[in-house]
Amino acid sequence: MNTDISIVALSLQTAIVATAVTLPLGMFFAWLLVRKEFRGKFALDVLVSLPLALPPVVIGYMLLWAVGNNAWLGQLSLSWFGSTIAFTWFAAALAAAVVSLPLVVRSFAAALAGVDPKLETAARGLGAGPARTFLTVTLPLAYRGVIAGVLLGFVRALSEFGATIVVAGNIPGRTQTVPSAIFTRISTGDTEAAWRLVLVSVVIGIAALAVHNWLLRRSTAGQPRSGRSVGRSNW
Amino acid sequence: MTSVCDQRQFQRLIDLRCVQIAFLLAIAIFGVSCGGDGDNPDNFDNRAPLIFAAASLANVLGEAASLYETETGNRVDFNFGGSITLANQIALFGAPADGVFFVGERPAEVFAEAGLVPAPGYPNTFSNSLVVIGPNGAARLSSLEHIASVKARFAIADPLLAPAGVYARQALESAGIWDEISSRAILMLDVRAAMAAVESGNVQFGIVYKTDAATSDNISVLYEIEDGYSPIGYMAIPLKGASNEDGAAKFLQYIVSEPATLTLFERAGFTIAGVPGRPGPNR
Amino acid sequence: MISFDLKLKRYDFSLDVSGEFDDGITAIFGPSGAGKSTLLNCIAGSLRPDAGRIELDGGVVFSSVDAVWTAPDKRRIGIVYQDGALFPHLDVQRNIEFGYRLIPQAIRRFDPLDLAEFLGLSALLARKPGELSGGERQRVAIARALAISPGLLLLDEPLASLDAARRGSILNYLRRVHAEFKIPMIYVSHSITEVVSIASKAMLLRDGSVVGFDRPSALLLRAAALGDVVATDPAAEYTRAERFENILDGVIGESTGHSTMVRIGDLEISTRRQNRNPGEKIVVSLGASQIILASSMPQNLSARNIVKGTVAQVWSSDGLVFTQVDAGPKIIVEITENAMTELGVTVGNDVFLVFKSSSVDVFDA
Repeated sequence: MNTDISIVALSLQTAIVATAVTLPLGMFFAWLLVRKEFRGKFALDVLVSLPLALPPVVIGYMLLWAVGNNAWLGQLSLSWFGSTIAFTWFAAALAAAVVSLPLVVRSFAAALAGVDPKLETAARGLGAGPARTFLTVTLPLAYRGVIAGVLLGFVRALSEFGATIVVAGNIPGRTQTVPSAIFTRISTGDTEAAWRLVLVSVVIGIAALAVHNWLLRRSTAGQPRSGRSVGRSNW
Repeated sequence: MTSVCDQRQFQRLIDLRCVQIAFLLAIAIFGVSCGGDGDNPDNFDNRAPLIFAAASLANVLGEAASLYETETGNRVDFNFGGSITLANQIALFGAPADGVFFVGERPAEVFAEAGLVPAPGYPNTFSNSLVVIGPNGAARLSSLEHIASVKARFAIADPLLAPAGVYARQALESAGIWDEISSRAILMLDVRAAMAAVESGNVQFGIVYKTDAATSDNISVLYEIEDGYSPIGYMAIPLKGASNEDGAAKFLQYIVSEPATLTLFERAGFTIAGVPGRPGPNR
Repeated sequence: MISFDLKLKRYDFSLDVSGEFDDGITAIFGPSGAGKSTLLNCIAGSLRPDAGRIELDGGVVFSSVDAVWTAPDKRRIGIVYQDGALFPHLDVQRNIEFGYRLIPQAIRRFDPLDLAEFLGLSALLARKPGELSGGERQRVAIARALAISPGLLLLDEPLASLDAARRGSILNYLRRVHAEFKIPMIYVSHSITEVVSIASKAMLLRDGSVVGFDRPSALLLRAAALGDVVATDPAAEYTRAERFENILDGVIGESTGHSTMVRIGDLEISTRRQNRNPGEKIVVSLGASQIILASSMPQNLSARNIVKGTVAQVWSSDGLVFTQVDAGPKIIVEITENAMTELGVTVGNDVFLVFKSSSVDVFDA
């Protein structure tokens, strides 16, 4: 019933949803951290990076505490949607999103920092509003780094285990991702089945990292090097 | 000069195409796995009931569910693991189980402590017994105390996570050797994991259910533990208020009443019809 | 007409300036840290002053009292930056058209392609900024700024990253832009040469305050008139620090042997042999310190150029004397104070300027 393909499909689906969430969120935070000065910026940086410093099971437990059935958010979901959050695929996606967010933010921040703020100021002076400037100047110049960040986040989301298993469980067909399935197969001694999924994971990992590195190498070409790259944009 | 320009434009075109392809691929994967063949993770559908069950029931419940599906056309989803672990997930964190099929007394206690009132079900359906296992070809043991003299490591389910571990510990305490050998115990997440540890050759002994040993060709039964532990009882109960309580109830009722499935359980080594005299959990 | 009166305070710097500029080319100059770029950014709208008022062409774009603030993208000010700040991922044409596309049809005064032609860029439209020379980049920057039909053109040290050869040429373009399109210009620089050469008025800033506002040459003169105070006058510091270059427009004349004649107004001077055609317009650069002053016609000199003129202005600074001599075009000469005293030359006297043809540098116009 629970074929390799369905496990991989569920994992991919969870990771895609997680990435779809971290993309805009990560870009927003990255932009704040690179281009804006404000009180509490340090706190934001720490908060966004926190999942990197915590054991994934801790993250999972904190999420469980926040969205479990007895929590306010869990109750809300129950009354609005008729279903819980914990131990559903949504929780799996949530766990994946939370652990991959710091990586995404960092990658995006590096990509944005590589764009001369002077160019953004110039675009504004020429009549472009903030959104247009971002879309027509910042993003085209940073897009390779952005894609690299998305890739990194996706791979991290795909490989999440500790947080997922705590907040989403290991329910075959619903929340059993590739890592969780591998763990189950190892635990029950089904080594051959475990190796199949291990192979899939390794292949995906290598492919993603290769593309990621290739993208990063190409992203620094083509822009004139100027002095200040990280700094307040005079918007 | 122009060739350099063309090359750069070409490169950008490739990048753009790659991004477009990746995006479409992502949507495609998402769509396909959503539509899927029934492994539907969507929360809002009328889907198969989700039964949390003891790890030792993995094989036999799978077969029983096949019979059920052939006969009624309805699918059943399972989540196997240590019964105590799973009970905690349901009671403390609201895991969306529709029904449970657990072994032991602790899961019922967990439910009671959390104020969960299971729907009327089948509190005492099957029973089991413990055996000592070892790698293929290992010599049979004359008694349980023999494990102490060999001074080897042994695998059991963690008593905190699965009743199989509770029963194993009870048996070893009754034989008077628990204190001596507890430091050599390897505690696993559930009874199947304990068996896998012995199968892999990493541990010399394991204490698992008789029914587990029957499913594996890679171990030998070294000793059958007849007494020294509480009677092993399985409870099959739908959860009141679950989203597919009915589906779970129908399936569980089928298992305990249908002759074909009862035969499956017997052949697997389970004994049927409860244990006389044992009080079940609250109705 | 631009008027402003503003205060701005940051960590270790404060700006407190006010002024009124007409529709000509006004320079803002001063040392690094004086506040030139800060003032420019306030006018442009990328910095918000703490208090004050800025009015452009009758419209108030900033007023702390009335809580008025127009965002930078709404002010229609063209800005030319020091390094051009061209968008590296767009070709020249797209760069120029960037702002043009965003302004309403009704306001469009200039066509981007016409501007490109005016600035000699027609052949470069498909190139990317990375493939252009410094001078070409600045010209694109100017075209881009003009394309939004601005009411004001701001230039922030536009020549600072160019080599000497290009500066004259770009300065010329700027003068022609002003003459042709009649857009007021504010020109920020730390170079006296540029300021004198292009601006009709100059505002001198130092440490965030205005210390002078007058014609450029008058500012420099004022330094001389202050006598003992001269050494500490900021204007004087400039003349001391800069190697002043005379930048003049000229036309190529006949070439014979190893020299080429260049015509500047009514004046004909000799320069090293140029590989150019007679009639070609060029820009000439002649260093003030490379000219020898004579109170009478010198004889038997190797120098090819001996030009007669009348002393128009004199100012001195810390042992150096600068003389503006009217020889047709006005040429500034730098000599030591002692030499000046010995010559006994004053305003109104006839003098002779002597310089070698190798001191005359010729650049593209």
